[in-house]
Amino acid sequence: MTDTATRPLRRRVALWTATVATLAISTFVGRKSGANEVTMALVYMVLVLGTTTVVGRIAGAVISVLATGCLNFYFLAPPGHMFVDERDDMVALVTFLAASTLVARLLTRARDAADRARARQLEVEGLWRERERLLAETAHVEALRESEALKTGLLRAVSHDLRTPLTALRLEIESLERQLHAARNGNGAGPAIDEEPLHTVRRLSSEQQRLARRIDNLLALARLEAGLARLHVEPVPASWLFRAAAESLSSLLAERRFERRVAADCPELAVDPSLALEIIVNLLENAARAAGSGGSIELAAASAGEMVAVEVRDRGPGVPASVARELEDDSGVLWAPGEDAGPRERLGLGLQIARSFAAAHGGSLQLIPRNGGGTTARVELPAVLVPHGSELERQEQHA
Amino acid sequence: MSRSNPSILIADDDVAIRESLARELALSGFAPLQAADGAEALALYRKEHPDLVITDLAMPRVGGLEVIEGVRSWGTTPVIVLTVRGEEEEKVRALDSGADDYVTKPFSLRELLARVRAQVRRTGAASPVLRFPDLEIDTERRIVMQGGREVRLTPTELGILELLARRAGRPVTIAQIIRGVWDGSAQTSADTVRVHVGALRRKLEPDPANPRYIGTEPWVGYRFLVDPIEEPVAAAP
Repeated sequence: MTDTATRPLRRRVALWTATVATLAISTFVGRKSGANEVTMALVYMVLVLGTTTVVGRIAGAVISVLATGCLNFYFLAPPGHMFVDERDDMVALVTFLAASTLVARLLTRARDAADRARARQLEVEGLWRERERLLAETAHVEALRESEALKTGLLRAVSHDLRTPLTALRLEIESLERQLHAARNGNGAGPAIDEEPLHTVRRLSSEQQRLARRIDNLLALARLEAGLARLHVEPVPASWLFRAAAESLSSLLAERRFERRVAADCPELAVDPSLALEIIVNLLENAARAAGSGGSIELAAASAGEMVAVEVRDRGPGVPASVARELEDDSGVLWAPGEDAGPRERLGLGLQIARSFAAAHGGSLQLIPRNGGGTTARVELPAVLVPHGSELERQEQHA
Repeated sequence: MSRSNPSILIADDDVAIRESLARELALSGFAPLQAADGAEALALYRKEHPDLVITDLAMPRVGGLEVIEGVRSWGTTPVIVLTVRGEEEEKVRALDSGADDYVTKPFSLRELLARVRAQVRRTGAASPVLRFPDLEIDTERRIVMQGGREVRLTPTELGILELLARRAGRPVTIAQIIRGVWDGSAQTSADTVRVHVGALRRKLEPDPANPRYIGTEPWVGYRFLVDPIEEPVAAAP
């Protein structure tokens, strides 16, 4: 039977009251109309069945007993008394009680079985839905993983296929450079060779590096768009970033005046080394191109609250205000393929990558015009912080 | 073995890179051997016993990792791997498998040659005094002199410095530092190592923010940046 205990109290009280009232009313009506004990027994039986069904087992049992009492008191001789004259009437009473109890019991059991069956069906349906949902989820996760594996595999293959000829190219150019230097210096007896081939090979080297940078940028962008740029954060010294960036752009920087300064109190950066390097290399490349041959560039790193501020400064023509504004605007897309090439395109791609990578670390990138001309690209990235009272700080002090 | 020209095995599936490297290494005084894939490399290694192995990591069929494992199972021949930008985990795995150093494509010849020389160099393992420009480390008497002044280090700091300096020019992973200085004690974490290296830098480096001796190698560990001053006396053959 549905658990009467879970029904709200008010409803239970109402039901019980209604049941008892029905008993009282039918008794009253029966007496008034002079119904005999058989009729009343049947009426009471119906009442017991109805009560068991609607209210519950306990109510049915109680009504059963009450009805037996009413039957005895009002409808069996002698009226108005609780004892019984005739032995047949006694049997009838007892039978009534037994019958109503038994029927109520059977009814209850049937209802219980039906309820359990229904509950089980609901459970099975619930489990089935759950299974469908999990299957769908698993399929989704699998699809995502496969798609990611595909993307990673594709990027890796493209990266390898592009960098292999680039490596061979670089090696051959260096070989040529060496040969030309040897030819120029080697034989003091012969005439000095033309400077022209040396200039050419230097330009070759510079273009090779520019190509390598474009490939790096495009692969970085592809990784970003594929959602594969995950951060593996570790403590990275600013000095390493500057050195590695300078090596990446050695040809370009060879004809620029280049200064680096890491402040003495500058903490290490808590960044992904390859992403952070991409940021600095892109900013450095922009600055180097803006500065032009013979121009000067400064790299500086200093503590800025909980961040490290890295600045790349040049004395070039400066950045158009529209570009600086777009950099601030989160939703701005700086690189639009198809627009005429030129300073805007170069700035666009490198800056877009730098900004995205900075944002991925929770940092920021700004372009600030300098007094006296030129631009400062200022990127703020998280610093490695040693919390006060930490184990590390204590170890540092005892080291 | 007293070969005048140390032999180097080059394993790369790209013929242009292989031949370019072979040519330049030959010009720099080495005897190159070429292999187009890992299987060929291991066969050639077993036959010729080169002094050093340079291997690409991404090769068809038998790759760079298998080459490293193969070489390591035979001995301590130095192995330098060629990695690609963006494949940092691969690089760390190679180092953990036994590779000694790496260069990232596209690399410069000068860089590769420096790494090769660092690996082939006789370290004079018995020498108790390590000499570098403006730096002298006396491991026996435990005295460190930098730029004319004495640097007082704790035993741990000195242990780290010695470990890095004896492998000057070669990368040393944090795991190797823990093994070498703390005897592989399981309680030592990477952070602990970093803290000690930080303290070492502050004491040793003239400009700790721009280290001259102890360089960080992200993903990997550290590398001693300067070459030792060559001893005038020839090392033991």
